[in-house]
Order: sequence, then structure tokens, then C-alpha cells
Amino acid sequence: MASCFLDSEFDYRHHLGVNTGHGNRILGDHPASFDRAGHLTLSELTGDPRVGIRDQIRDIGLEHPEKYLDFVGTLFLFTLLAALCGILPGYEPPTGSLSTTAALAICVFWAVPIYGIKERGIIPYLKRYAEPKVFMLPLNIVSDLSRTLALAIRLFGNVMSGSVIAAILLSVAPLFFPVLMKSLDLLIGAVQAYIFAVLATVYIAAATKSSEV
Amino acid sequence: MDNIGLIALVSLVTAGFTMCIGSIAPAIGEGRAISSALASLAQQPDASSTITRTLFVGLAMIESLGIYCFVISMILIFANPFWNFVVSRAGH
Repeated sequence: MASCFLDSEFDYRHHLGVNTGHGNRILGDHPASFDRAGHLTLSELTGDPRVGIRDQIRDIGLEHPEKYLDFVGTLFLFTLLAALCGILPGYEPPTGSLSTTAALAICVFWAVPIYGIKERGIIPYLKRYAEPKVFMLPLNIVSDLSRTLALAIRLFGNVMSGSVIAAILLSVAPLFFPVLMKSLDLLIGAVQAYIFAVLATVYIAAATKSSEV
Repeated sequence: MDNIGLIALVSLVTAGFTMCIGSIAPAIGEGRAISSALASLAQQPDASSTITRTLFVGLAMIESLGIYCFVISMILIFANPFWNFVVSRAGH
């Protein structure tokens, strides 16, 4: 046990030594990367959200995040705020209705070809549907439709399940337990907002990426 | 048993089985995904940002299967079209 601890401490020092050997780049980079791994840290929420969202878009693989910042950022902030307002009493989250999430998913459904055609031109964009072979054409179209449906139902189901569980628990154990479930609900809502925005970005990135790379 | 009781029974039992069976497979999948993500996080802490993001997206994909089952069981319990049909017909 003690030797194990010493070993790990030695590894840690060794790691630090390597880092300082490279100057303070990695020392400055390392905690930042851990912070960004959490994605929902307090500093990112209280700071300028545009900076964090832009960095995330760039991390996913879009070279000019400013072009997509308004669309993806609006999606993220809307779904996040819709989930986080759940701490207000008497509030029903708008994303708990299938109409809202279907509207958001249809926005993504149209944004993908718009960005793709703007970035690559209409012929190379449409040629993407016939890759890798022509007989994959119906499958690619069906995958576009089904991922839109999945996007809508995922957000709707997650938010709706929270309110249904809260309603059931209120009738079973009304004193303290719904508070815990409500706080778990806030976490799930934030994660789902992040996932919705990330999936929209991934779809846009797949549509705009040129295949010659 | 009359039609209303039969439809209620089948709907409730099917909703229960939907949730039961439909949460087993996503649970196994998410467990495997998280365990391999933890293993690669321990091997490469520098890539933690990419690994965590991919993990979240993958978990959302897997979890949506369970969410589909939940939506189906909610439809069976609260918005069952056959139930509404039979009740409306029985009203006449």
C-alpha cells in the first residue's frame, strides 16, 4: 500500500517534471483541459458563453466557429434555460412538449443542408448522399430523417420523464424526496441541452466537411 | 373479461415489459461505454476533453433507446389510442 502510494507520487512528480521541462505550456494547459472536460463548470456558465461555445464548436471540428455560433449557441442557450428554469415554482419546461422539440429538430434538419450547400456547393453536397456507393442513397436519406426524429424524441423524453417522475413522487413521498429528483432533473436538463447542441454541431460538421481531406 | 378490462390489462402489462426489457440493453451498453471510457481516460488523461465529449454523445445515443421505450410506455398508459377508441364507442 505504502509502496503503491510512493509509486504514484513518484509518477506524479515525474509527470510534473516533464511538464516543467516543456515550459509552462502544459502546466497552463493541463488544468484547463480538465476544466473543459467537465463542460458545465461554473466558470463556463458565468463567463461569456460565446467563448465557451465557440471553443466547443472548434473542438468538434469546424474551422470557423463564428459562422455556426449563432445557430448552435441559440439552440444550446434555449434548451439550457428551458431546463434550468425548472427551479421556478409552477414552471412547465417548454422542451417537455413534443411540439417544441420537434420544431428545434426540424431547425437542425434544415440547417444541415443549408450550411453544407453554403460551404461546399450544391453538387458536392448532394453527392455526399451517394457515398460510398449509389445504392446507399435511400439509407442515407432515411438516416437523415431518423436522426431528426431521434433528436426530437430524445430531448422530449428526457425532460418529460423528469416532470412525470416529479408528479408521481409528489403523490408517493411529498416531503423531501422530490427535491432530490428535481435537482437531478436540472443536471439531466443541462446535459441534454449540451448533447442537443453537440449533436447539431456534429451533423453540421459532417455535412460541411470536404471529403478530400 | 370485457373489452375495456382486456385493453387496460394488456396496455399496463405491455408498458411494464417495455420498460423492463427496454432498459436492460441500454444499461449494458452504457456500462460498457463508461468502463472503456474510464480505461482510456486513465491511459491518456491529456485526451480527456475529446474522450468525455465523445462519451457524452455516445451515451446520449444509447440512452435514447431507453427513452424511446419510456415514451412508448407513457403512450400506452396515458394516451392509449385503443383505450380512447373503446371508451368513445362505449359512450354511444
